[in-house]
Amino acid sequence: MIERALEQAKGRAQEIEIAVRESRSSGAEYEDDKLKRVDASQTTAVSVRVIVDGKVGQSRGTDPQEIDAVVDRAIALAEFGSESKFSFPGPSAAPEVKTYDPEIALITREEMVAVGAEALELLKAYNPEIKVSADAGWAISTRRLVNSQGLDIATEESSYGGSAGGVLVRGTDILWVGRYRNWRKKDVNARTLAEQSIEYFRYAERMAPVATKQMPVIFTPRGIRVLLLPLLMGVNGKNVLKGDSPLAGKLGQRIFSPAFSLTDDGTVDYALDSARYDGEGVPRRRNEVVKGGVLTCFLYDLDTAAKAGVESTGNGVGCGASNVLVTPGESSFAEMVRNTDEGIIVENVLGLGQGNIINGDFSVNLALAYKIEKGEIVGRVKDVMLAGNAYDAINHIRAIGSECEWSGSTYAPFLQVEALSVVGKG
Amino acid sequence: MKDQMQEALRGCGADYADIRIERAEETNIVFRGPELDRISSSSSRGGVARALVKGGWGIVTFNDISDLRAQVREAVTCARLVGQEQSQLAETEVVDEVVPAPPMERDFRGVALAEKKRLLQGYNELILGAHPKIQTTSLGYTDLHRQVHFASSEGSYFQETRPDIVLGVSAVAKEGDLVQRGIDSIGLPGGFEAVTGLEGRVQAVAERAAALLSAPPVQGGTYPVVLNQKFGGVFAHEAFGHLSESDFVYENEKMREIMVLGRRFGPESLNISEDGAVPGCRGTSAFDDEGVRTRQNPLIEKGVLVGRLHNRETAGKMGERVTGNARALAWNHPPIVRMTNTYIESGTATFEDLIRGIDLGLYALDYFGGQTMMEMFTFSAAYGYMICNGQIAELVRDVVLTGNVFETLEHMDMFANDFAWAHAGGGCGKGGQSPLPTDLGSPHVRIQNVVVGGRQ
Repeated sequence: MIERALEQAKGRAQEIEIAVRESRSSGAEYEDDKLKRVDASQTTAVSVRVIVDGKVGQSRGTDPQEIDAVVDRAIALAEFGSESKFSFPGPSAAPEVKTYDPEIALITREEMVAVGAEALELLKAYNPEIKVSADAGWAISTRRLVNSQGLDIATEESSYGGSAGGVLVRGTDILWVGRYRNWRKKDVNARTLAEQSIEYFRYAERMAPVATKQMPVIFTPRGIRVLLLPLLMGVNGKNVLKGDSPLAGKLGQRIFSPAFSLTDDGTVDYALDSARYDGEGVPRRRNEVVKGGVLTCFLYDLDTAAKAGVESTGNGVGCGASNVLVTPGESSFAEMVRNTDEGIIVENVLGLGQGNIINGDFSVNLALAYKIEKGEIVGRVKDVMLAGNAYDAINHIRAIGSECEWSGSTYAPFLQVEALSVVGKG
Repeated sequence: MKDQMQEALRGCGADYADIRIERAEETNIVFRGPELDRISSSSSRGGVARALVKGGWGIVTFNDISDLRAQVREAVTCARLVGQEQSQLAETEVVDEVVPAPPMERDFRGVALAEKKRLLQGYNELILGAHPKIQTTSLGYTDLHRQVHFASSEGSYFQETRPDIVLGVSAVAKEGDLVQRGIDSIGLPGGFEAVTGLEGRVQAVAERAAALLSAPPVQGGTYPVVLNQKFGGVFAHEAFGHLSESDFVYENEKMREIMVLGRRFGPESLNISEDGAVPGCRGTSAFDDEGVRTRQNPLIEKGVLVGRLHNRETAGKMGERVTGNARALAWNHPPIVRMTNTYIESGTATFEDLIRGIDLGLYALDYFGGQTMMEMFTFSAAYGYMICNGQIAELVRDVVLTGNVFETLEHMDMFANDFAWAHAGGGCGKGGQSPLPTDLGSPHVRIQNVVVGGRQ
C-alpha cells in the first residue's frame, strides 16, 4: 500500500515521506474509590509530507486504505506551502535504543485493575477520608516511515503507566495529591506510587502561613518544570531562528550557574521520548544543551536546520526536546531542607505557560507546595503566588540535589534557587 | 449509518450502550514572522463505543467502523470487568433528529486555500509593518468541520454538523532582552466570514505589543480589580465553572457538602449561567455527546448555588435532571462533563461606577489563559492598567491573578450593564481533551482583594 502510494506520487512531487502508525492501548481507572472504567483502543494514523517545487505540503488521515487521498491532498497543499531548503534523509545507521518490552503485550486487564486496587488499599490505610484515584494502562504502537530517498524504518514501541493519588476535602479546602509513572518497560509499582503520594499528603497535614517576601525555593523533580519550560522553548531551534528566543546569539556564553548542566537525550533505553530515529528519520542522539552553565547547542529538525545553516540534531519534527536530563549535584533533599532557614518547596503549580513564558518570566499559583522553617517542613502553603524569571533563577542556584527522578520524559534532581518572590496573604 | 449503528447496539447485553462516530476535516495555516510556517490538512474518521454494565463503563475507541457490532461487544466485555453495583442514568428523551448545520454565509470548505492564505498573509503584513519594534508574529488559522452520528441502546439517534473556525493573532515586540506580546483571537461556529475584515483588531494587537515594551510590570500584591468582559468570562469559566462540573462532586460526600444547592457563594447581584443552546457561540450544539438536548442551566442565581453541570450518570446518581454537558473533543475520546458557554449576567452599574471608588487598583483586560485546580485558580490578562484615584492610569504588563474561588466570588461587588460574549479562540482542557471549543461571556466586573502576582 505504502509502496504503491510512493510510486504514484513520483512525477508529481520531487520528494515524499509517508508515515503510518498503528496503536493499541488498554487501561483500567479508579475514581473516587471505585473502579469506574476499563477501556481499549485501536487506532491508525497516516501522515504524508511532500516537497513540490521547493514547497512543503502535509496532510493526515486515519484510514490506511485512503493513503492515496492523503497524498493527493498534501500535493494540492504544497502549491501554497512553506518554502523548504531541506531534503528528506536517506537510510543511515542509528544507535540501538530499547523502546519495546514484550512483557507489556501480556498485561491483562485484571492485572491493571489490581494496580488500582492495591493503591486504593494503601492510601485508605493512611487516611480513609482520601477519595482515591488510581489507574494503570499500556500502549503499543508500530510505526513505518518511508520516503522517496530510500529510507524505510519500522519501529515498535511500548509503554506502561500507572498513577495513584486522591482528593482530601477539609472544610472548603480541597487538597489533590498524585504521582504517576510511565515507562517503555513494564515497571509500575502501585505500592511505590501510593507511598510517594502519602508522603506528600503527610507534609500537607498542616497549613503554614506565608508572608510576602523573597525566599529560597526548592523545586522537586516535578516542580522543576517551572524553570525548564522557558529554557526548553528558548533552545528550540525554530524559536531561535524566528528571533523569539532570548537565547539567540548566546551560544558559547555562560548564562547559568556553573553547577547547571542539561542534556537532551533521545537514546536512553526505555525512556518515553526515546527512539532510534526521530519523526523524520534522522537518528536520535544525545545533545548537551547546557554544560557547566554554558549554552552549548540548540535543537533542530531538518527544515529549521537547513534554514539556519546547521545540521538536524534529531529533534524532528518541530525542534522540541526529547528526554531532558538535568545533571545531579551533591546535596541530598534532606540536607537542602535542613540548610534552609525559611523557604518553599514547589511540587506543582497552576498557570504555567501563561504570559511571556519565552522571556523566562513566570507568575504561578502554588498548587502543591510546602513551607520550610528552621530546617523543617512545617506544612502546606496555599493561595500563594510565586514569581520570578527562570533564566535568572537558574543563574542563582543554591543547591542541586543528588537524587534524580523521572517525571514523564524529564529526569531531574531537586533544585534550590537563591531567592524568588513569594506573594502570600500571611 | 443510523441503521448500522442501531443494529450493532441491538441485544448487546449491557444495561446501556451507545456509539458515536465522527468524520472530521480540518485545515491549518500558520505564519511565524514574515514566512508561512506550515499549511496542513487532515481528515479523520473514527468512533467510540461505550457500554454500561452494573454501574461500570467499558469504552472502546476505533478507526475501523466496518464491524461496529464487534466494537460494542468489546465494550461490553470491558464493562463486565468493572460493574459491581447498579447502573444509574438520569432519564432523557429518546430523540431521532438530523440537526441542520449552523448558518454559514461562506462555508469554509468551499473557500480556496489561496484565499485563506492571502487573508492570513495580509494580517501578517499589517502587524509586521505596524511598528518598528515588532520583532515577529505568530498567526494561526484553523477550520474544522465535524459531522457527528450518535445512537444509543435506548433508541436515540442524532446527526449533527459542528463547524468551528478560529483565527489567533500574536505580535511580538522586542527591545533589548525584553519581549512583549500582543494577542487577540476570534472563534465562532460559523463560516469564513467570521475571520474576514478584522484589520482594525489586528492592527491594535501590534500597537499593544509595542506599547507594553515601555509598560512597567504590575507590582505584586492585593488589589481591587476590575475585569473587562473577556476576562470576566474567563473568571466564570476557570474559577467557578470547573467546580460546578459534577464529576468532581457526585461520589465525594465532602465535595457534595461544599457544593450543596442553596449555599450562598456571592452577593445578591451575582448570577452565573451556562447555556449550550445559545446560537452563535463556540460551545453550542443541539445535543451533547450522550444525545441529551442542550439547554440553559443557571448555576448561581442571586448569589446562591442553584445548579451544576451533569452527564447522565452524575445526574442520575445525584437525583438531578440532565443538563446536556457530556462533551467529547473528537472521535477518539469518550464524553466527559464539560462546560459549553459560561457567563456572568449583566448588572446595572456603569463602567465608571466600577472604577470611581478605587484609590489604587487594577483594570485587567483580555486573557492569555487560565488554569484551575479544584478551588484554586490562576489566570493572566493580556494587559492591564492601574486604577488611581478612580481614574484609569498607566498601562502595566505581567498581570496574573490568583485566588480561591469561595473567597473571590464573595468579593465580587459590582457588575456593569455591558455584557459581551468573548467569541475567542483557544478552548478548554480537561482529562487530556484539549482544546474543546467553549465560549465565555461577562459584563465588566469588580472584585475586591485579589492576589496579583508579580515581583517586588
